[in-house]
Amino acid sequence: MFVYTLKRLAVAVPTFFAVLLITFTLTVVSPFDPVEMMMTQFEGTLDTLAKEEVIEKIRDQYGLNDTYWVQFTRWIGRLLQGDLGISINGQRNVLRMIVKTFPISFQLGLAGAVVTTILGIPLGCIAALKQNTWIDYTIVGGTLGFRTVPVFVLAPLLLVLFVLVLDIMRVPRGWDGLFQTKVILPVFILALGPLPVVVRQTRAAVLEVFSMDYVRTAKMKGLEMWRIIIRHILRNALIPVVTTLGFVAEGLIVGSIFLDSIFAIPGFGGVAEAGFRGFDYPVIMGVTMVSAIMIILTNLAVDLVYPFLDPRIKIE
Amino acid sequence: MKQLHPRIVITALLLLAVVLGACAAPAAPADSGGAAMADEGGEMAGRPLPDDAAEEQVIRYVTRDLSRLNPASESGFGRPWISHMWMPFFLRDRNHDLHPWLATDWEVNDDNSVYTIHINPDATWSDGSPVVAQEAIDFWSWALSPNCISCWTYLRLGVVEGAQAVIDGEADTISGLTAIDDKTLQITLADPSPTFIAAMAHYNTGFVKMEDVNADEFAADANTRVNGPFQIKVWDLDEREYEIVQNPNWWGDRKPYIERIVAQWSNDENITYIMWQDGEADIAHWFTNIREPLRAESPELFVLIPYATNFYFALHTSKPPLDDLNVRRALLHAVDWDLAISAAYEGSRDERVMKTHITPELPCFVADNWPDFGYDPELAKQELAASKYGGPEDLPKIRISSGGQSPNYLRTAEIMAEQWKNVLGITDVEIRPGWGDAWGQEADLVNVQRNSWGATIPDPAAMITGLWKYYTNPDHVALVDDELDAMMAELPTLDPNSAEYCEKVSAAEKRLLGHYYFLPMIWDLYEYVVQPYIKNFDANVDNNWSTLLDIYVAEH
Repeated sequence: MFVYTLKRLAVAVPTFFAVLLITFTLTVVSPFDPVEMMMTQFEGTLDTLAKEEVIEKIRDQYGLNDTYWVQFTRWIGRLLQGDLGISINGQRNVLRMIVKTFPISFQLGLAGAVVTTILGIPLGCIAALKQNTWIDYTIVGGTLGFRTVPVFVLAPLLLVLFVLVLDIMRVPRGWDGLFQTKVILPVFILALGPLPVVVRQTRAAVLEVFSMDYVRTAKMKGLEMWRIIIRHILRNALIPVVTTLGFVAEGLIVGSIFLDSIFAIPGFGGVAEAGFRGFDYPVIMGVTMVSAIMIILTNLAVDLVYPFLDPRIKIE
Repeated sequence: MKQLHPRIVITALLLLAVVLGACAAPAAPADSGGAAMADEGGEMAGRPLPDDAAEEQVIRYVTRDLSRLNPASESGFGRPWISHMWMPFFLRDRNHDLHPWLATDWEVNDDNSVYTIHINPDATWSDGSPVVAQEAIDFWSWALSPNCISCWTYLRLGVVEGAQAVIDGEADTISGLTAIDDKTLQITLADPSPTFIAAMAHYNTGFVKMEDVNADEFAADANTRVNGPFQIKVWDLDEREYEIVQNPNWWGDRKPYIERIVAQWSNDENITYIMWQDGEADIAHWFTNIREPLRAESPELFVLIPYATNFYFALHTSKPPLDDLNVRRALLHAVDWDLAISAAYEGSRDERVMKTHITPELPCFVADNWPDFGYDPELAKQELAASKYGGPEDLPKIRISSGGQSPNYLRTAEIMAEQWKNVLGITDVEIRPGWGDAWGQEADLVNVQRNSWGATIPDPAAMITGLWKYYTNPDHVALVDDELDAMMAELPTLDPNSAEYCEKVSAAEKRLLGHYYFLPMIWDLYEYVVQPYIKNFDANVDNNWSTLLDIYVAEH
């Protein structure tokens, strides 16, 4: 397994640099200039002449007037020294931005994945056991319904309900740690995204296992239904679900852009959003790098975990 | 199966109940730090509160973005209070009048080339050390140097003798600045300017003690000393926590009522509006779609920021077909601008259709300085027919860059194109969102470019001479007018207080408008929405809360 892991990591290195090269190229050749984007906040309050002077001066300061290769090699050179550069829009150290925000998103993402699991597996199980009944339709349709409402619509609607109509809470803002009441609504909304995936995956897996001979044997032995489900059905049905959850968690950690924005959570999603909004290429590169590492590591972790869940699979 | 089913259902319901129940738990009050702050502010001799004042003087402010605090690079979202932390020498009010601030007064020599500023003898930093003239020289010299990343103080001080050498990295200190003594600063300009003192009221000219500027990417924090009535308690861009509090050691006679300002970041206006409706925000900025419905309901909540701002489409007068004055006139007269802007901005700028460059917020504004402005389809047809192109058939393509992705810009451009088709029969028009870059190899052929012009220094002469300088450039609009050139050259030498000042500014503007080198959009509108219990609130052209010392929270 150790050799396998090393091989996978070795293969990941060129993939990683290819991602960086493509992202950097797309950023540089895009028609948008990060300094011009930054200056849009001066729109109307600084005359065009002054604005152009400032833009040119700042472009020089950030080396944006250099050639593509000079910029790329400089960025890689700094990366190898652990320096991700300075955000053009916010004039902040990108590495520090990521180091400060990633743990918050990591906690939120994991909490979201836990809630998804806690809700998704039982609901999927119930849907399978009540296949083609109104319960099944309600669970599958309901979770899918929540999934189809975008976060930036669902969150304000829930806030209107809880804050203005029911008047039972204030608008949860910011981050004071995971175990605070203000985190519950964002985590709940975060968990709704991948919920139908887990529900449907569980439902399908349970249905498949339910028709197996050993389940029928267990029933004939007179075991209680809950024992059959926990010991015989779920144990086998959850193998594909667990591997899915790995990707769900990864997606939740790096993908909470709207949620960070709506609830003013100082998370990784907010950094990504600010970077993309301002075409702030040091930030975009930093965000892409972390996301690429997360995806590569999640893939690897899932592959490594699989044999432990299913003894029939061996890593060679 | 029958035994299991209720257990699963009950478990699921319990989980949901836990989640929703926790949601319903009362949130911690947003102002829970109030008692602690009252203690912190206790050292300052209090100013008696007005009779109707609330017990707790806290402002909860919601805005779209917040960036680092540095007077040299302030990019907009710290403007409300930055002049109350690192004070410029003077403070402007809504009407652009200057008031003593860090300085008590100033003098200028006869030819307007040497200014002498007298710093208030009582002025001290928050650590108790005196504010001295050399500190301004040191900070400004750093702020102009290439070491100060994304700094633009040079826009204010570039006219000072020796400034260019510092900007170019050839000198460490601006030679035109001299500390006559600790409290007297002499500023020698490279070229005389009777209006230079206006720059000394701009937040870009506030200065920080250089000992606190520990890096080129300087950003102020709670340890950064201030010389104004407020200081930072926390300003953490990563944690998104922003709070300023009274400086307990402020030297001024008039202490502020407000104890602290808690700024909140929200770039989703739906959320801002929910906070507003729930009473969680006292002052909000950057409402867009919600602004008009809110205005219809409560117009008294809106406070205008007196920015002097134009948005328009510049016409390149050396690029066909806009090289013909008659074509430019026809394009202007073929559009009903009031209707066009109302449609493009969905009724939110009906009163702000641009008719002149000098906006109503500026001195020397003359509403009808461009009498030929207006919708006249018959005249437009005649003008196009009188052009060297003779009509729409032989007219070269009109390429419009919207200059940004805003739907308002794009809608205006589309309405213009539609009107030109309907009134003049012009069909060869292409619109692309973004700047000239969006046109690739055709960038040089773009002949209509959306632009904006603003005046942070409320000086109409500077505004239109800047326009003239920019638009005579062959790369931009390529205006040529020797007589106007002479008129523009005279404007910077005029005393703004003289009788002839506005007369000559208006005459120059009128002649400039007569070149028909732009198609108007709007004098833009920036506003705060302020709860009625926030008293004495006002803002100046720099978007400073210029009355911050007098603002208080009334009982509500």
